[in-house]
Amino acid sequence: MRGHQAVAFRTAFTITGDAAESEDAAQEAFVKVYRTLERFRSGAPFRPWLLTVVANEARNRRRAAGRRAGLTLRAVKHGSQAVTPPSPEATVVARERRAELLGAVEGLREEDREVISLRYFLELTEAEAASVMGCARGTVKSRLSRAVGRLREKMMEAQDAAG
Amino acid sequence: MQPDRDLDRELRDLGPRVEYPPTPDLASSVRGRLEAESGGPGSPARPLPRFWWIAAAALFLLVAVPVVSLAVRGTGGGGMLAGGAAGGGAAESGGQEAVEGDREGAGDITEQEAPSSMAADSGASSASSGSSAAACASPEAALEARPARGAPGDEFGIRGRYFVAGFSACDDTGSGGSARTIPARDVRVEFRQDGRTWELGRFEADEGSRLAASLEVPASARPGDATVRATYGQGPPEAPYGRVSAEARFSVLD
Repeated sequence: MRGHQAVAFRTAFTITGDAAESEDAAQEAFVKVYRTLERFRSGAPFRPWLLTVVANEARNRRRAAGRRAGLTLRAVKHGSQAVTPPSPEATVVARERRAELLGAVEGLREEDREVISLRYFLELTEAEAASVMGCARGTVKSRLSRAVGRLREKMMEAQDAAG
Repeated sequence: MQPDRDLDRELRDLGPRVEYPPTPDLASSVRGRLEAESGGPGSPARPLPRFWWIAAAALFLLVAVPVVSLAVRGTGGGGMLAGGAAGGGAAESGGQEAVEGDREGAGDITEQEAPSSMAADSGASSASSGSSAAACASPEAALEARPARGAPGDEFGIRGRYFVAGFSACDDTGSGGSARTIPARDVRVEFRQDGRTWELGRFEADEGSRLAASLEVPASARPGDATVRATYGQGPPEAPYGRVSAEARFSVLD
């Protein structure tokens, strides 16, 4: 269970945008999954099933709270160390670019933000993302493509506005 | 114009750097919940007992409800189902406030009769009126806090009796009648004060339908009167197997 708790919590957070709600949703999902373990088909992948339950719980809670999910993400300041350390200027530029990109993702509509978060940030497979979003794998692919297209437009608009 | 593949690469690079709120220890909290629900550490979920539980409840309803309604008509409805051992006069008032009144009147609840023979405990009045129909009735749940006072953070104990969820066997056709009680499970214990409620835990009554637990006065409780309440069951209190609660008074010291 410990091996899945981070992805469960973060998936819930992607949907609710609230840490406390996400904790409750993930906890409830684990309890439900445990109670229905006997119905689980042995040999089937566990994670998509778990993430489906997590997503349902998270959506229910978001709906009950009656609010739109507002995701607030930050990029960590210290990423993995490169073999050749970049110059301080390059580091600053890269950091600014990441902040812009995250800001643009946050500004996307919910469906776009969700598919980008699931595929790029949580690094879910297409099948897992499809379980979370409750759609077919092909739909994940097309939604992702459209979402990235809209993200690119947003980034260009921001660049144009900046001069 | 920036190609999408560059954006794709940037997003992939950004993924591991996105900072999420720290992941809580879900494993512990889930384990705690499951243990509380199943009644003990390491107990797996038990769907089969749940089925038997429902079957026992249905059987009880089939047998007990007609019998009890007959007895109510026979005895005038006084003091048979509830509050028999602790003071039959409160039975007609029905609400939980009456339970507390009963308890105070009865003094130390541990001095009451054990509920092993429900007919003897709760059916005294009906037995004297010639009915054996009270075999499957139980006195009201009663709760006691010991010590009944303490400062925030102090430990105290609770002891409860007659935490009965139902009857697994109910033979009320003989002279004395007999009933085997099903102890209450998932008893929620709360500390209540001035409109605030702290859940202190969930417990299970023992085979004798007794409840015992060691608890702690909530750190944020204020000096003054408080109540410890133990509740189990679902549905309206007046329904068979409905919600049951018992209270004990507690004084929070400075």
